[in-house]
Amino acid sequence: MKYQIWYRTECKLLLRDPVVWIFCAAFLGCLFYATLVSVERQAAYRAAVTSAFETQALQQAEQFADLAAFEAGEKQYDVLFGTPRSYFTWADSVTGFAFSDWSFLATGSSDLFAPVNLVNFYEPPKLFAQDLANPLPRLLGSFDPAFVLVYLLPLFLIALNYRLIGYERERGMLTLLLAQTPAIKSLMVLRMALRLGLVFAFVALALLAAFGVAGVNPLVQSGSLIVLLSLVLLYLLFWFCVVLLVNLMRWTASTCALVLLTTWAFLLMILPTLAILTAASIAEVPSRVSLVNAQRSAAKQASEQKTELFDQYLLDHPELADLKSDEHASFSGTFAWYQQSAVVYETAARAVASQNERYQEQLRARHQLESYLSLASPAVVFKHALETLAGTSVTHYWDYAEALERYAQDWRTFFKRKAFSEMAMTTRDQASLPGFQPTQAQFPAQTMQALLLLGVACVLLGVALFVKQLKAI
Amino acid sequence: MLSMLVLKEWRQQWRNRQLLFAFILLCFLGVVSLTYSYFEHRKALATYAEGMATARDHWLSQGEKNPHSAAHYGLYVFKLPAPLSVLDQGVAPFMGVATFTEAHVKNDATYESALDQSGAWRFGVLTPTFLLVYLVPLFLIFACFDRISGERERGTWRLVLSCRAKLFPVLLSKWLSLYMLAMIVAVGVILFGSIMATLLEPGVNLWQQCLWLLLGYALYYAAFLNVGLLVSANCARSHVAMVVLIIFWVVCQLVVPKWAASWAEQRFPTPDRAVFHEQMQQQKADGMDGHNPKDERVAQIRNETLEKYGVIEVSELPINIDGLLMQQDEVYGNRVYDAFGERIQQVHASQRSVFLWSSLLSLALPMRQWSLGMTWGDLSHHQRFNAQVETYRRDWVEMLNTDMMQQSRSGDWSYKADQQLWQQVAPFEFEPAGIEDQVQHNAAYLISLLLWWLVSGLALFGWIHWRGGMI
Repeated sequence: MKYQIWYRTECKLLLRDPVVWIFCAAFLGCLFYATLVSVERQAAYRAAVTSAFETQALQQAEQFADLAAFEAGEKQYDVLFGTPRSYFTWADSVTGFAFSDWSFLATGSSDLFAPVNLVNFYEPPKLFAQDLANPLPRLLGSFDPAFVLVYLLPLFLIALNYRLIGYERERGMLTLLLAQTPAIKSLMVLRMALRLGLVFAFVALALLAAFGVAGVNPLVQSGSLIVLLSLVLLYLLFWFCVVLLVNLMRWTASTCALVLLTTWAFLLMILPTLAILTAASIAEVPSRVSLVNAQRSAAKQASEQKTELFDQYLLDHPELADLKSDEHASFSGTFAWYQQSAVVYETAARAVASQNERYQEQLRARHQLESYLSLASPAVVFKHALETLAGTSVTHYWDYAEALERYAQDWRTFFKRKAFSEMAMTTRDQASLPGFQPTQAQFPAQTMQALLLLGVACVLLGVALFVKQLKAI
Repeated sequence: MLSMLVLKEWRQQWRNRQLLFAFILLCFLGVVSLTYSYFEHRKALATYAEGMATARDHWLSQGEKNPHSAAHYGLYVFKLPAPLSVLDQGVAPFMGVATFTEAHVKNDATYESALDQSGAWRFGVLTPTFLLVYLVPLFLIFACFDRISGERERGTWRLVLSCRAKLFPVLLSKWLSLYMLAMIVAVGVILFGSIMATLLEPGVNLWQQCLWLLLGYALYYAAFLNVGLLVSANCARSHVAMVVLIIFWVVCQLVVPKWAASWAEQRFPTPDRAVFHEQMQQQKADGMDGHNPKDERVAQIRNETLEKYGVIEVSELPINIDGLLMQQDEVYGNRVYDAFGERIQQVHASQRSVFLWSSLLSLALPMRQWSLGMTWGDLSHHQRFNAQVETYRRDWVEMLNTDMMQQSRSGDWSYKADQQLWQQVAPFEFEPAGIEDQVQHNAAYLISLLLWWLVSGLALFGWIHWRGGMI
């Protein structure tokens, strides 16, 4: 009964506090605006991917129709180049990043990489950057729901709770509180629990409303929704623990605010930058320029020795030499060019493979080190988890890059076999022409890891609180 | 009198351990960020030199071949890092470092270092600019939030006023004592940064850039302090002043810049990359008006050339018409590239106007932009690089096409040029904009900083005047 009165009083105090209403309105405004902006951006990316695939399908259908007309004798082509029979007409193939419905949650790396890529059989595949876009927005960062949750939510919490004890003491209210029947320890815990519960309920409802604004039914992925809400709860709990710990010190409200805001700045601004700097100093990555030059040197060398390499290649791959036919003897020069190009490409790729692999390994090692060092900041862990749930994390793009690489390999193999068969494109290729299937990669282990880490951070703070004990008041 | 008051404030700050610790931490972070930036810049310069030398060697040692084959073989051009990237890398990580120049195609710089970074990198990198733009104002807030409200809470404000001390010098001393600390950090960082840049590139003259940069920071910190003291004077409690100032800092540093970035892209969207390139290729093939396909253009040039030389067959021409046709195709392609480039630049200019107007809402945004401009880390610097590379590409491709046209006959694809011709392609040298151009280009941001300083200063002293000293 006595606790009910406390609950009611606390709720009334919160409801009467204009600061609470201002922050709630600001939080909702920021979250909804961020959601709208993010939804629009992701919709544009998704439309670009869909449009690219549709355009390619249409183009390929037209080319196959032309080939059918040629085979039926309705059309005549005297040369290969520039006709649907030529490989070059089919050289490019579209690949696209698979955006999930939840991608509005966090921009992640989606503003860095182009949503649509092209692979061809004569160049190494690479992820295109958003190179037409103004780089300044990328430098400043996106206003997305992840920003509101990671950066602004802790600030709202701090603003609401930094004077929980210190200000009561300054106003002389603490003595009155201590004179009440319930133990002050229970009282403060209840007070914090109530505030945490109310804030979490508010944020959870706001998030569900943001899903509504985005036109996404979160219950379709109920598992992910539970993970998301758990992450938010743990992140809130972490900051509540920090606030409570600082409140327990015998500091004035000003000092509490100063310490809490310094903690916020340290965890969200200084610590991640120091982690990046330390990782960059320890795990150095060779420059891209060196890699570009190595690729160039290998291609040059292979090109200079293409005749010898080609002969050697046929000795190593007799199955390809057997494919030769004289069906298109008139284009033998063209086929020879394609065959030699394929050999030069493969030789150059083999020559830089080890260097490329070393580059990727060192890059992975650096990312690993950065992620280990960043674990010290729950904000980094939380943001990374949000990006993973949204499907826009760096890991997702690396996975996409690997899929792109595999697809480029299939694409090249298809044309290499045709070149060695000395066969121009025909309608029979319609069934065997490789196509890219965008798939949404899932990394549940990463979100679980984030849950675990945030949980550990909360437990550590809980232990600190236990040690400090509320008798410190 | 004023100097004594400033000394008193400094003594007070010296005794305040928290503030002293924060200042030492700031200096330490300054040293760390400068050291890191120095080594990064040194590495970038070495990489650039190695890249350019290797690319030149590849070009010269390509052997004998047809000039058009050489034009397809292409030439890599690398971007020289700006000297003051020791202080501010700017947008460089989002722009490529290498451009492949070749016949027929205009490529922009690729291999953006941002693509190789982890997710944590988006939280920011500890550079000297990060320190000066983000952390020093935070230090100023922590130092000034209770400068007046604290005195009032402790009851010392009345004592100060009762000593017949004039309000203006008292406030000025508080303002100056903190301003000097901030400027010590700014001057130190910029001075050491420029010394490091000069050590790495002995010929560069950076003093004008540094002075302009310093002017920006002088206005920036002055405006921040004006706002800080104004809030401190108006809030009854120090903790309320602190919260209000932190909200101001968050809005200036994070909310408005990110909002402006999103709004700029939402209001003036960048065309989709794939569609843009598709349209560009389409216009090259079908003509810019859609009714002038390549085949017709080729036929027209062929007929005009035959008419010009008064011959009937191309084999009778004293030139190689293939060289001429390829050059004319280049000229037409360049017109298409220019038109599309103009479209993109218009989008960027419109987006820039959003940032410009948003700088009236955020004190940090104009400073960030000013810093980018003065350290050659802004978009215009990279656009200038791309434009110069494109001019370079057009020149050397034209040279090779002309050589093919003049030194061989139509249909003769066996003609081969050698190193003598390759050597005529001079190495690429980038000419950055002069400091006057950069100042002019970014003057709006300096004016915005000036406005912030003036308005906040007037508000502070207007308020004092209005309250008649009873604050």
